[in-house]
Amino acid sequence: MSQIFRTLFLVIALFMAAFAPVTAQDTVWTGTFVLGSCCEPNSLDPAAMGISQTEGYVVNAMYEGLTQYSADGEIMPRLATDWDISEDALTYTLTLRDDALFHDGTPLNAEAVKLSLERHAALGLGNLGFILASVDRIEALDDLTVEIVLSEADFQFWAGLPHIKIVSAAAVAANEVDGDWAGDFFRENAVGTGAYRLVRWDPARQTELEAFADYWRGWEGSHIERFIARYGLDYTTRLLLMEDGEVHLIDWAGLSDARRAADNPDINLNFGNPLQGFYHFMKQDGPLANKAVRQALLHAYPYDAMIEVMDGFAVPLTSPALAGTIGHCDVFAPAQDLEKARQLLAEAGYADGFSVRQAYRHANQPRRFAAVLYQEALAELGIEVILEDIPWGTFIAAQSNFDTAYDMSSHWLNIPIPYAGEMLYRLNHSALIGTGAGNWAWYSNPEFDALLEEAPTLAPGDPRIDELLCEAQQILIDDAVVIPVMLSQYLDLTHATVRGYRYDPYGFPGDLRLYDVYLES
Amino acid sequence: MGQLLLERILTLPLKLFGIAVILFVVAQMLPADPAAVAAGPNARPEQLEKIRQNLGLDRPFHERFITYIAGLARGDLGKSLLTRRLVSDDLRLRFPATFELAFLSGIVIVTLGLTMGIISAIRAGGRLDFLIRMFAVVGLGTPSFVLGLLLQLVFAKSLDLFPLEGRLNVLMAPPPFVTGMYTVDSLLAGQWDVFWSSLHHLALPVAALSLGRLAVGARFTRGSMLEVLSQPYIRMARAKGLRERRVIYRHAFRNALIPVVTALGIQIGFLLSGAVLVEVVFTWPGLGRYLVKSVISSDFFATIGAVLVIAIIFVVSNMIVDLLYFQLDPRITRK
Repeated sequence: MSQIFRTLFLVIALFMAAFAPVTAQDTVWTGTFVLGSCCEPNSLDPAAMGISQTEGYVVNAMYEGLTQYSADGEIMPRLATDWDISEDALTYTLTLRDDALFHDGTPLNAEAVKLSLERHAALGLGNLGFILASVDRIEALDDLTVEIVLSEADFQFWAGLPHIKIVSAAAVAANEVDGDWAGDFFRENAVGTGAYRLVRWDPARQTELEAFADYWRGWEGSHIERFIARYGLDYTTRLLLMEDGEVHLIDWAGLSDARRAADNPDINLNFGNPLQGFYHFMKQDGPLANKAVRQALLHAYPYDAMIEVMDGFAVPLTSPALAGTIGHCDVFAPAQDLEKARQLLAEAGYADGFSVRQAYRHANQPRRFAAVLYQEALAELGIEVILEDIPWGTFIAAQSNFDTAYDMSSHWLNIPIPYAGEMLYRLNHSALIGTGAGNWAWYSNPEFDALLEEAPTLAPGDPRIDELLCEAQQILIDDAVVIPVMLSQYLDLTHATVRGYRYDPYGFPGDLRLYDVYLES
Repeated sequence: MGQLLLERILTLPLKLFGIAVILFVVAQMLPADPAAVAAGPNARPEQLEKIRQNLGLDRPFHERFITYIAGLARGDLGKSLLTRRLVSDDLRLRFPATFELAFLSGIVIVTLGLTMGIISAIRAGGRLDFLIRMFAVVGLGTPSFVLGLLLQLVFAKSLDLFPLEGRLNVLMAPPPFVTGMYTVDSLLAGQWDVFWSSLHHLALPVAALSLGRLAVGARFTRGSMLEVLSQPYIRMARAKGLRERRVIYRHAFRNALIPVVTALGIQIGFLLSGAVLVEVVFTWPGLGRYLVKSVISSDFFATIGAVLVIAIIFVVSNMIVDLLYFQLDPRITRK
């Protein structure tokens, strides 16, 4: 009898095991997630990507890097499971995961990594090319081990590696035309290892992605099945769409959007500090060539008023570098002191003031407010500021020539890696003079340059990186070549049904971590 | 008529060449760095340099000019700095969206504008005339983008009768590309759901774009009809005992059409350029938005390409107006 029961039990168990949907049971698809974006991406090629959330949302969902940043800025495994860095910080040996597949079904291997890095460096389309500038050679040691050798130690390589995405070698080989690294193909197609694969790119309208069934992390838990990024939406329109639940995420929300969202229980406001600062540059010419005058202008800036204008969605900068980046140190206490400014101007022989031209980029409220507030503050010191509202291309053309460059200008600056040296380089390294790419103060200081050049040659974690960069920050404040105004907060809006979304300060604004997001019905 | 048409067609390339040359020279003289725009605000100097080389911006002006003109002769409008695609490909993608919008608006303007103008003239001084004239004043005085926003608020947001924006339902795939016009392509593919969705999405932008110009059409028709209706040959026709309907449509309307056709011809040309703001309000991915973006970004190949398309439309619509004159006024043929 017991034999019969045992047999019966076995049959029932086998029957249940055979028909139970083991993996499907654990996956909860929560529908289509829609992003309402103001802007349109120009390319889907990760090698053409810049620090732009527009491409970022879709590119980061379809591609992955070898490493990634954790929420607190630590470098973590992604497609590489393990790595070894040589003592001289010249050789990086990475072990790849063996279960990752590209969207074309080919497996991730060392050849694909080698080709992806070489392709990114060769195309040089995006503004992340500098990350690979010091790479000397890349070797595939075996199928899952890749060795990257640098010509000189470069901390920026390791810090920036999470942003270099890996593409399918088979797709490159199949679509390459005249040695173009399949540039034309990857502009409109995508073959990565990411959680979502491209269904359709309808330029100027929308991009549609769907969950990649063979994604190496699997699909246990709640996820979104489809992701649609809609482009070119007017600010008012996308807010109306979100109120109707037709859009789940609004990127780069403005202050007025934030105010409106505060009154709507169906909309959540998310914010965090991006790697982006607002700076005021002073060209070293005429009265501004005088250090005391520049110091006076540093004291005259209405720091508190700017934070107020930003509705509190900004924090003061205590250094030319951004807080939270490697090498940052507090060297500056932002406070407006018009008396001190007046005294410095008198000592410099400019008690009666002077006149300067200032450029600011149009179509951006904070920039306009900053320009007008500073104009009013300087008027109290007898300094006349002639404001010119100009587009970016015109500004760069003017700034590339010392004679046409503006006396003062104000800008948001982003950096892609949490490394203070990168922002200091953009701000004031003499290599950028006249290139239009930065250093709009036309500042040249060999001592400052040397500090910035030495710091990245040290091995990751070397305490001297902090020392060198701290000294560089102090020099900039002492010489008063740039006014660090504020670290503005990145604002975006999500519909109340969105779960698992978090703003990631160490990814790009577009690094949505779509895999973790789901919708609550 | 044939000679005039031939003359117009033969001089068209010359006109377009002239426009392209002027635009190229002006674009090159503008104090802007297209490489900086293409690279974005966080570019490194080496990246800027590479882009300048790729775009040929490091070459002298005359070399760039000759290269551009030679390309133009082959039908190559150059590459867009922003999209990094051929401008002709970009235009092929965006122009049909604008054309679809402008064409449907044109149909609304012609049919409703003429009808309202005729009714207004026949009932001159009456209540209906007053209402139509009031409508014309409001239509002329309301910018299309303001009207667009109002239509969105009333018909999309409050009454939920039409979609707020876009060309198609967000979950719908566009029909296979044949003309680029979703209504036409969906019909060709037999995709009725896509056809209705695209038509549904067209309703509000067409209304926003056509109302102002509809008012112009109505006023021109009314004025022209009133002038013709006071002519002796109309009195003669009535005296002969012809039915009023025949007097209006066969004798008065045909002659009243000549100035109306001139006005409407110009309006159709302006529909394309006037669609810019409507495209922005309704997130319509057309030529207007492309042009605005390219101008702001100093993307001069894209700008020249888009302006050339608009110039072609103006020239062609004027040519059609000329041809209509021949049909409407036999005296021109005799001359």
